Amino acid sequence: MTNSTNFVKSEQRWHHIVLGSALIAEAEAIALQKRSQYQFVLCLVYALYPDINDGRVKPKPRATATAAKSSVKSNKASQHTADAEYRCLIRAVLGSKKISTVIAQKDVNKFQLAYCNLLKGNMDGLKKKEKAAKSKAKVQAI
Amino acid sequence: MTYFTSWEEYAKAVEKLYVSDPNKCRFVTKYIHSKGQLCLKMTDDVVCLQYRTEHTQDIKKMEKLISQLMRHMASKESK
Repeated sequence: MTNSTNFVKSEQRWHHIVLGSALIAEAEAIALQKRSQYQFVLCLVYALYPDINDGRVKPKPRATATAAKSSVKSNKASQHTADAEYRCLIRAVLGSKKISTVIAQKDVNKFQLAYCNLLKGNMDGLKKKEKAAKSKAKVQAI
Repeated sequence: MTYFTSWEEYAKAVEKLYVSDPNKCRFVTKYIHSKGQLCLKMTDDVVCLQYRTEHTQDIKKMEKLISQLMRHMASKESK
């Protein structure tokens, strides 16, 4: 759990998007906009994101001297975490632009569909399969 | 860390690492258009698994892996 809060620590700088589909749209827009630039780097991070704070993105405030009260609270919180639903934190970075979202279980399929389309559509700088050319060459060799 | 040479090995290693401690793992994809390169990284801040490709057919394999991971991450089981 401490690890995930570490991820979230720098969250103020992230433009958080609540809906996964909105993240896809935003990522697409950024990708198109930066197309012409000589370097196009899109970074995506996937991490397990325990639902500790009911979807809160900013870090939990640190416990202070009034710990007597908060210890009761933290007990509750840990109970909550025990049977909490896990979600997936997704971040996208391009240059200085940062966007992020959290995917719940029920949205996984929808997000994946949109996300895979985004990848297929935009990662077009890779080498294509040379199967056709190779097989032709083989036939000639035989 | 060095890059994996075979996708099958990489996918296996990633799943193993994830199962060993789902709370610590994160997966990073980096696409560099100018170099025509796609880098994948899975790490738990101790072990780091990397794979680099220049071929379109690897996108499909990657999608499969990501879908699996995402499904695991956004599930109710805490493991």
